Amino acid sequence: MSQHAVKIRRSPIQQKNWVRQNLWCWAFVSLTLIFYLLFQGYPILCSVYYSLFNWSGMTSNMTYVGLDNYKTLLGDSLFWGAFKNSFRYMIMVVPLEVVISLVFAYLLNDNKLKGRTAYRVSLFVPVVVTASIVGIVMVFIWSSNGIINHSLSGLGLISKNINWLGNKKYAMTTVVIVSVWKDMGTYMIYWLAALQGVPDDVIEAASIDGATRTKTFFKVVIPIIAPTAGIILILCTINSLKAFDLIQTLTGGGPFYATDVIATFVYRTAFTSEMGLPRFGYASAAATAFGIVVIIIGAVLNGIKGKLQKLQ
Amino acid sequence: MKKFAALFLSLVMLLSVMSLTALADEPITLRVYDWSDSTLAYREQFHKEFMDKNPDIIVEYTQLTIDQFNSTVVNAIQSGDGPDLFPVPTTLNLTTAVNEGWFLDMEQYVSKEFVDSFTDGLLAEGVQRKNGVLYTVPEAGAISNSMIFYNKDILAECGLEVPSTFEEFREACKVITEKGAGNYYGLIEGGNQANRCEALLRAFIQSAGGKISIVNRALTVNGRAPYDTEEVRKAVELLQGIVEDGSLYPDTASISAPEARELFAQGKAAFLCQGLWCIGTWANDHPELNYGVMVPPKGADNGYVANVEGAPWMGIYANTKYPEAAARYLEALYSADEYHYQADVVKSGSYVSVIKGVNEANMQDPVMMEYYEAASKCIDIPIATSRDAAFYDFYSTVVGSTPSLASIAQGILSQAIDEPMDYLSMLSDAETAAWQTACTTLGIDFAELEFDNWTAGVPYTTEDYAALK
Amino acid sequence: MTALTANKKLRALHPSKIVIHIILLLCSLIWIYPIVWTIISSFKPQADFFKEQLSLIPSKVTFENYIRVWSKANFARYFANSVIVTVFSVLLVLIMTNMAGYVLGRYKFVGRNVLMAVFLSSICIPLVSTLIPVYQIVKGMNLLGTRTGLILSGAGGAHVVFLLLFSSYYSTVPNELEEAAKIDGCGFFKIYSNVMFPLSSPISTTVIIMESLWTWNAFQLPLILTLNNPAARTLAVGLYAFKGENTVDWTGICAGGAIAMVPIIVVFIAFQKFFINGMAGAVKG
Repeated sequence: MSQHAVKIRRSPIQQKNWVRQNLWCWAFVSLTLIFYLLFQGYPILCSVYYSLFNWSGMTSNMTYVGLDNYKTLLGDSLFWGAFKNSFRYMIMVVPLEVVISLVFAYLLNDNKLKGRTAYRVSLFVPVVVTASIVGIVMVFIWSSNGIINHSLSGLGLISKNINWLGNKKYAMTTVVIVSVWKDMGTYMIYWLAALQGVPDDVIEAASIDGATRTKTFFKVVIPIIAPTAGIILILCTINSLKAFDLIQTLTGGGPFYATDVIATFVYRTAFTSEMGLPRFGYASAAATAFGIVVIIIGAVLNGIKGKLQKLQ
Repeated sequence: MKKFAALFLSLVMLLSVMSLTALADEPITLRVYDWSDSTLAYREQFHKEFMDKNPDIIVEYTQLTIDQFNSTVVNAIQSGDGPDLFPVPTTLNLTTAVNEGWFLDMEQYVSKEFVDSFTDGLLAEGVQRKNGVLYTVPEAGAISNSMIFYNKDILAECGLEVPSTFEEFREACKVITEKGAGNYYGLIEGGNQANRCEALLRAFIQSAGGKISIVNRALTVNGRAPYDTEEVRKAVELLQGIVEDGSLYPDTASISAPEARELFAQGKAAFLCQGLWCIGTWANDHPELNYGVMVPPKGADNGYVANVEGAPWMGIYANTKYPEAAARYLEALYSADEYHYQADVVKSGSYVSVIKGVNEANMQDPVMMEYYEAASKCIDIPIATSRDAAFYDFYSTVVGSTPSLASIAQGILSQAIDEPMDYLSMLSDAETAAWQTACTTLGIDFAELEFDNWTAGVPYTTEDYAALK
Repeated sequence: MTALTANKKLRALHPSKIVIHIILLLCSLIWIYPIVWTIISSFKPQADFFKEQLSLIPSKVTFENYIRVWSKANFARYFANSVIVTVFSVLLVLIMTNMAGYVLGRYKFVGRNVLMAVFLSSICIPLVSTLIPVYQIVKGMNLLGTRTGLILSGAGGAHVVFLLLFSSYYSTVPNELEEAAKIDGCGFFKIYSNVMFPLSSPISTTVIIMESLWTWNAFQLPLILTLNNPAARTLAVGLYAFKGENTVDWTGICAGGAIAMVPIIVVFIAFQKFFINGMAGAVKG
């Protein structure tokens, strides 16, 4: 932060400048604010509003039930199952994605590395593919006679072919692996942008001082990219809690809710049903409740990040 | 600064130019939405022919999946922007759709010949009509979608007869899997789709002589939702047994129904439980497939297969600007002479037509006739709405319990549940409570879900309904 | 030869370099395998797709899938729509988030923390239940079924990410540059446009790539907004048509996916080089 809080009294000129600056700042955020309010803020409020009703989403029959939906949520074992799975998923995905992407970014940050562009593109390409296609393709790759089983039995690691995505024990792990494969490229790009901000002369100075590459990395590079690192960590965490497209097409939340996360729970509750109508109001309550939990986590993480920055 | 301003201005200009969408005068566009993907080719042919003969109409046909339909089109309909022709979502019944004011009175616009061309009794009250007014028409003949297809070549290779009991079926699957040595298995299913798993389970429950409603409907046995009865146990044991024997195609849990169908056609499994629509697809893609159709094997002497209810399909949007054009479309779609869609779908083995005479004139696929014959052995079972029309509202009010029968069936096939009967007991408790709640809310007598004079395996007739009173 | 260049030459042959190459090569191959498989499958005839699942060398090569995708997915039209919607969305988002990120990162103005907290909290709600309200808003603006509607609602998407990136980046720009500009007589806006904005090129490039990707592949919102006007649909929506209720066109999906991938990969390669050069130039300058 480049400016300290101005204390108590200012001279008239300072006051005028301060007002002008504030006006400029608000002008700069105005566009973002308008779009946010229109396309995110208001819809979120609507979502919270819907959660107070017993509404199918398909009919005009909306009955106000206040917090009843939330009360039902507390006793809904499938909701809590999805809740737990969301966090299981996050805890598995985030460290893998953040660390793997950092390693690749660091390796590829070398301007003298031959084939750098080719490596970068290869590792990034999965990010580009639509989730629905990935889902279909992965079902084949992880199937009993797909390439994974082929390779694993060829290497002698397994004796019998496993249907990874259809097996309660392995489904979640498989989904995590596919997610990491797909999203790693995004975080790699963020890390690359951060690493590009590390001046070359600082690295040169360290190597002249006799530091090995690893030591340079930990003692010099990491402190410099720490603020961006904090953001990447928060982003990765929050994105993993919102995961939907990939999981939906890979397993739909199955087998028997083994990979059911909050987003798949909400989608299924809002738009499908067996007997009776879908339950849009109830789904909105689930989304809101979960959203509040994530906000709290985000706030806590942010606080930690702030404290860490102050310690710099 | 200048560069920035210039960029900003050109951005604004471009945006405003693009938002000017001037529409020249055109023939009217009729928007038709549904999810009938298995007959898409014939439908598109029909559209070409229709537009040739009706140059004042352009048909804009959009196909979605049921989920996409539920999450998008319903929204449009509620906002007053609905398509001109669309089907009732599968999660709704006609009563609800009519209460919402989605459809108009069709008979105001279609001809009497059109209405009369439907097979007798199909345009029934409660199903396509409400208070006598005709709102929708059915897409195809209501025929059971839980017959068992079997691969004749595999059975011959293993020296097996067509199994007719549970024990024979399980044994057959075992022998086939052993003989197959990884090349083919006994049973395959689209395990990724919970609805297919449920269809399989329900089919076996019924063929074990169990009293259970058709899918997504409610019936009680001894005042309780019948999901943990002795017959259910038998059916569950059969399925679990097949899975534990290793006779279930290994990837079943993660493949969709179309994939299962494709793999069956490639000879990867001997048995598949699906519906009529497979026949048309296989005739096209795998004419070499040597297969037959049978009713599910019996688990008890009084095992049966239940007839399914007719379902409302397409109606004309109440706010449409072109009701006459929509009516013309429907008349053409169901025409038996001037257009060929009905003939095409029957010939190809995709659907059974609802128009008089079309089936007799066009059914030529031998397997389709086999299916038709097997399905004709289905019997009527009690239906709550036939007893009391108030149950139409029941189905809009009741809150289904989770995990549902479909999820549990899926769990059995994927071996994700160790004790399915425990879950089924919980389901029975939960569903009974949910049904009671819904009945109380609507002021319906819960006891009306009980049909004392119903003997499993014996067709339930109008006299039986009358005898209840 | 100085000690430094001698050191560098030694490093070029260092075994660790070889190890790095092996790791990168192996990982790259694993990473692109599914995509290669998809592209190759798109050239297989539909009937053979299941039989030849594993093979990376099709016994028969056919273009029928691409032809089918072209006509069924109304390729030319949808592709053009996707390009237009993506380009304008990206421009809009870039300008929006760059400006907002700048002030959020460098200035402590009234309400800054509240604003930041509000923006951050918005990305925590699963999007599924916000589809209906967005539809109502676009309908209210009379922009249903138009590309403008798609652009605006797409630009309203989850770009809090970019706000964070820009604000964090801008907060690390040294004050000296700002001071120098002030001495030159630049006002608030001029400082931004002449000094700060050009500096943000690495982050801006990242934003361009990410937002292009997000908009290009988005289908849930475009689907619901273009139901009434198929002519305005994007490629991602058109591709979704290959998975029906009872049928799946596997090779068609592979072909469609392949087509959708190529432009974005091109964008990535193009911009990736730009930001490398940009950074190299900035360091030298």
